[in-house]
Amino acid sequence: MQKVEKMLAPLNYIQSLRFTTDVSYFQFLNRIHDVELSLSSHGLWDVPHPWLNLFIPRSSILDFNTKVFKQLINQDFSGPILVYPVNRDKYVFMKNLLQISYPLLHFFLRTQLLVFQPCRFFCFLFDSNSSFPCRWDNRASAVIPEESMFYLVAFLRNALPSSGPSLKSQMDDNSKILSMCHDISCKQYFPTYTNPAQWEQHFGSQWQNFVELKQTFDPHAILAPGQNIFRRNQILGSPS
Amino acid sequence: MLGGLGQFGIITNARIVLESAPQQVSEFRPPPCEELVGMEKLALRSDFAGVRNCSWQLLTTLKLRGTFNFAMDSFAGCLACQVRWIRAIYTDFQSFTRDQEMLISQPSTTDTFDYVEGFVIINNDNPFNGWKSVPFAPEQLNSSMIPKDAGSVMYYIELTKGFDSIDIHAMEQVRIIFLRLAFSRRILLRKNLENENTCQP
Repeated sequence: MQKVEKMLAPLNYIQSLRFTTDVSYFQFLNRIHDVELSLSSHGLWDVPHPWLNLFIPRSSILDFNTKVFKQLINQDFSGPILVYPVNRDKYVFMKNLLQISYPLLHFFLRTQLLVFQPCRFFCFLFDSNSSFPCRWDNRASAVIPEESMFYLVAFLRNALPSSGPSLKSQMDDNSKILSMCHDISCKQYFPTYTNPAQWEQHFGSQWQNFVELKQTFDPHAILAPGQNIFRRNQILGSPS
Repeated sequence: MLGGLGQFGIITNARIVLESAPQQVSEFRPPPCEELVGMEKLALRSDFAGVRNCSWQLLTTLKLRGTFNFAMDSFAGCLACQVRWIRAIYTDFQSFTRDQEMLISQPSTTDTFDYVEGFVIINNDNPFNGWKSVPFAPEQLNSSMIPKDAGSVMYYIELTKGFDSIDIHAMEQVRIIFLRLAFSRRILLRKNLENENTCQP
């Protein structure tokens, strides 16, 4: 374990605020289940989850901290907030994400997600054919910032029936965060838009590729019209 | 296709690629013959309950079967893949992100953590997203330890490194067994002098 101490040495955390434990590999993988038990016992599990997942360009993350984390996150914020960087082009350690995806899969199945935004399913977006560490699979349709490194920020809120901010106010908060994101070219995962023009803006340079895939695999636009990306029977390639 | 918002198809079958756990249960090298005899003797002692916590399978096996090979299989249960799990708090966002970026950018030739994640926590004692949610045992952190200059939110990095090890609790129990064995071995050695054939494979 001297190796671990050596790896921790260059980090600038507050020395007195470091906590360490040793658990079995399974216990670590299964840690969300312990959270589930704890939250369930407090009646905090089977509640609406107005989650918001964002990809923030690296160049904007400090700005995001000042404008969102420091100003919009109130004392009564309910639920965890994740922030961590991901390499777009360089090799990244996706093994990390894989380790957490299975308990979260369980979590997603168990909770009635108001907005289904499985933030940690990104592992499936990565090239699973290459050996770890692997890199972002550019064939994936999820839209990420252009920069070589970007941050995943996830507001995994829950709306409590009896206390704290209402579901409505939490969703308003989400909209407020999203409106701030327009200025810093961040991308939501997954967004909800009402017309194709908004989708086109969301996809940006990837839009043409997305349309071509649609032409290939679903030329009559039968599938998932509710996303408001394509209209059924429209002539693809010229979305209105 | 992935992240395709349901636009390109309906998934009816999926193949999930599994990888083996990074650390495997270690092989156990059987102790020298005289120790095995010692263990057998130990297993027959009535005060054996005191060491039951170390791999109960081992003890049960020894008790019930008294067969060395079988016992050795069970003993491997004492050896487990472990994860050192670390959480470290920051008040300064820039230091927090700089460290995170450094951690995910290291070349694969150096020692790296197996898992890196980051969180924002609220500067209050909420057990789910305040600073109370960070320590592994609640008594490890109280409000007096929070820096006075901390803002409305703080941050923490979560890291793990897997290692192959004997479970620490089990290791202590094993040590106790072997301490007793040392005692038995003296008897054993003396006995061996009397009878060379005590220890037959």
